[in-house]
Amino acid sequence: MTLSTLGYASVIAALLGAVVMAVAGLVGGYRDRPALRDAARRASYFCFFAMSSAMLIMEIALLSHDFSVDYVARVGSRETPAYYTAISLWSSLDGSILFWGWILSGYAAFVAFVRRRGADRLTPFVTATLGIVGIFFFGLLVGPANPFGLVVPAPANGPGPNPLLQNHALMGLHPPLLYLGFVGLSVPFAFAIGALLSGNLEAGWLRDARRWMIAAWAFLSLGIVGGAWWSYEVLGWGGYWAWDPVENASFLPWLTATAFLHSAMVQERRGMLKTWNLSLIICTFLLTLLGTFLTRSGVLDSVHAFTEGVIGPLFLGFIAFVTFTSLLLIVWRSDRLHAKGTLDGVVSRESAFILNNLVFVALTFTVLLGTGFPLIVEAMRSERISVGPPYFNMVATPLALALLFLMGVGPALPWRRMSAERLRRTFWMPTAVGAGVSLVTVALGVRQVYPIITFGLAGFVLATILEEFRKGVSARRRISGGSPVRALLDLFARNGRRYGGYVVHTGIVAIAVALAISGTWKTEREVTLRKGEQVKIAEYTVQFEDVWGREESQRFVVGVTLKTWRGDRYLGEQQPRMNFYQSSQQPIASPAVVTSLTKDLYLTLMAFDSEEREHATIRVIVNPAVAWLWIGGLIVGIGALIAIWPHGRSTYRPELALSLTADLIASPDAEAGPGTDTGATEEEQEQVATRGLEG
Amino acid sequence: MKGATRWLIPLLPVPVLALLAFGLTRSAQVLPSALIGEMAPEFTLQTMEGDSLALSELHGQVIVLNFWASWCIPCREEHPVLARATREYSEGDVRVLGVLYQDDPASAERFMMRYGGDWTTVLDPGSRTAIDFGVYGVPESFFLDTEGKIAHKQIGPLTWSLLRSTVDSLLAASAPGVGS
Amino acid sequence: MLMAAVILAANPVTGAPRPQDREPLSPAEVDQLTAEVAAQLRCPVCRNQAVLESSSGLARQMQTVIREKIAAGETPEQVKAYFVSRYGGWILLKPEPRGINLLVYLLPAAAVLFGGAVLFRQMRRWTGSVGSEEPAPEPPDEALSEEEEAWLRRQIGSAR
Repeated sequence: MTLSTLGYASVIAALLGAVVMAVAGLVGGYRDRPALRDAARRASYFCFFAMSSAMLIMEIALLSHDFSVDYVARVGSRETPAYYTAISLWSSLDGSILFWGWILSGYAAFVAFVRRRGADRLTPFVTATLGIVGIFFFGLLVGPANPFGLVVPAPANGPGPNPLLQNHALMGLHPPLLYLGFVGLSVPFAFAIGALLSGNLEAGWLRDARRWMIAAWAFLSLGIVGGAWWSYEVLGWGGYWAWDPVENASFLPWLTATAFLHSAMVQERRGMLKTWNLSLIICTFLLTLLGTFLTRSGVLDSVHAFTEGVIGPLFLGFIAFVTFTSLLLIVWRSDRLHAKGTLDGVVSRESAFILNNLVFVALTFTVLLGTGFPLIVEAMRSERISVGPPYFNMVATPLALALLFLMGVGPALPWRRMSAERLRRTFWMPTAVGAGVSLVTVALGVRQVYPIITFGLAGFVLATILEEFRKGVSARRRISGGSPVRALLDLFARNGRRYGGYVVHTGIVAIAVALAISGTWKTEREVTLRKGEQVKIAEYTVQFEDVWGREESQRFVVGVTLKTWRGDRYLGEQQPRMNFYQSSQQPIASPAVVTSLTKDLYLTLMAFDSEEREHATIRVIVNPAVAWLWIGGLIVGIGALIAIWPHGRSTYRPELALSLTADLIASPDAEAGPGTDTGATEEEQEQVATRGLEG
Repeated sequence: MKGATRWLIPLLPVPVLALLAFGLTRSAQVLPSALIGEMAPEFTLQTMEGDSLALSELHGQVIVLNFWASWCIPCREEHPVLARATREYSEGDVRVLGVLYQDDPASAERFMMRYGGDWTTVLDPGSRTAIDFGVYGVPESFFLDTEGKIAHKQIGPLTWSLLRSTVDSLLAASAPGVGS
Repeated sequence: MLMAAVILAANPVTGAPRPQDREPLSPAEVDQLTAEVAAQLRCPVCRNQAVLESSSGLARQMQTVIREKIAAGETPEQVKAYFVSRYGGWILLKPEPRGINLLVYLLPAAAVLFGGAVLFRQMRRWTGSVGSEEPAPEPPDEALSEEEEAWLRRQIGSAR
């Protein structure tokens, strides 16, 4: 048995498993047959097992340089270091699909395992939906994207992975995160389709879907920030976000997923927006497929485009299938999707969330339009145009600022309604803080409009978040006493969704401020220096020492040694490099970055004198506040973790019930009342709300 | 939405899907030239042998202007096509002219020695001519009619059938008495 | 024809003085204008990178061409028009706002307005149904009154 045969057999087994998941899940769900439901569950475990062995076999083949395996022959090489060989699993299309399929099977098995005890009708349909998605991906692996093809005779060596993907250790980090996020979005989709199929469209499915969505969303967020970091540290152009189609492809589902995370709360609370939420989940999933289609089929020119003949039409076919099926299901169930609730007041948290959704969807539309617009123009006028960063920055900034504003407004508004008087009391402080920040910014001499607005809004949002925490902490201390820190931890433990959400918001504020600062006050210069010559830019000094060259196993490296100072402080020698790979005409630059919390010194080697080694051209960029992008990303991740952390104590606790009952006595409107500030878990609030109303 | 019309909702995404299907029918890498039908930008450049050559000196012939480099792998593929063109068409009718792109003359010379061919290649320091012609990469070939207008641009390696049909149609168009 | 339109747009009748009438630019101004133009042009041999950001040979040489043209007194618009005449509209990272390209600028605004209008109608429908009823009493601002809190503390104390 060769690795090629073993791997291929595993993939075929996974495909069969997915077929069982789909068929047994659908039939078991409709006919309510426990035996079939169990079969669907076991099939999902089996799928995961089969895909895991396929993955393992591929890794073994890669690491043992078994060039008789087609994929290894295309991306492997004996010169590539072991680490890059291991991660070259996602350096080409069919390997990526193998990795994708493995994660999908993992999610499906995990969902089935977590829900193994319940006898609800939803689970088999969820498994079936994941099975159908699995059939598509495993089918690609069995058919046109088979990475396990046998190469006879096996070549002695291969070309190695794409140079861009073996240039920096970070390549091992962000693609798995992105895949975990991307593929994770299939789970809420499966819940949505499952709910439509089962016909039970009450809020139960939504709560579960939302939880999975937060997990996938967190991975996706970290993946996007990680990708930006990679772009910054590896590509050497001095930026972190280029609005490249592949970046947009990860950003689009992030936008709709974020919209859903907010609008789902409106449905949970008020029974509204049912069709809307289903549509958002389905759109999110479709956007992951669309993004993969656009970037991997060669339809759009992208950094990461691999042109592969058959994959494109198959992806398009699957997108069409998912679109039509989902829409038909929604139309079929439309009689069960009527809103139960209504809006009580225009000034309420519901309205803020609905407005937030409008802006998120508008932003999604804009990014999608910009990404696809060259294609539209070509179809209509057969001329080629580009839509690049200057366009996206121009149209996306106002919408992003609107979102920042809503981020401050939403959490401070109560559910249902609010009087003008209370509105004033709630918002005068944050508004004063925001206005103060803007005024100080202007007083410091800043004249650019966007930074002034961004800083003001950031102050406004942070003030509301801090106020929310203050209220929550003091409410908890009133109830259970203890130190403020203890009360804060208690808040996170008991109402992680809400307070974790605020932590996420804090991270987003950090990112917004970092974007505004680094986008506005980036200083750059390109200089050609002779040996010993110095250049000063901002408070940094750079001195050119030497040009050198070095042969490495898989590449040839040319670098320059630069001495750097910030003010009088010596920052050490920096070595920006150019890497020359056999398989690439263009050298791949490796910048040298000196990071600090306030500013980064970013050095890229642009050209060097190969004969005399006397001078070199260096691009020197002073990038302020970039570190805060990564810190903000980390805060977002921590916040999301708090939000999905299972809060163990969901049992009924009498003292909280009493506190909430007291609120109910004070006001018949428990949800709008300050009861939400006690930091009770959602379950407690609901139990109490029910009891209170009964009482 | 009520009644039967709601069942039409699933048809709404059809235009988007059609657009995506259109996207699959063409290559994102191949770009049309903005210069088709325009006079070719004039240049006077040094040949590899050190002589000076102006494009306008060659007017009156069909010109195949080929941007190439020794490091470019597809250029090796199309090299025999250009060689065949110099053999099968008489000088005076058709002229193949290479423009060296992002390469040093020494390696270009070695390339020509190795793969054969005696047509002229001019050097393009600073890629000014390449930029003037809107070149994206190599190989790219421009077909100029006898008046010096750009009639066609090929991105990527030439094939013999493409070269022959393009050159023949340009020769036919310029033949006296035809196509008046 | 198209070219003429571009050049006309770049040089409106009332517009900038002709190159030779202007003061020569200082080196810093040339640098700045060069970077400005180079940031808006797409590097032909890269994938989705601006000329400014690319270290590829052709992009470096394009920067040299831009610099020379700026130093010779051409306006940024004229330099961009030159590149458009050679590479087509593809070379601009921000499409020229004319013809069909207008859609990419107008549709997002239209989407916001349309979405806002739909939302406004829907909001009125949602809130309208309760508008006729008595407004619910405003929830109190403080979590509990002192009295209630004292009561609650007693209850909690006894529950423990």
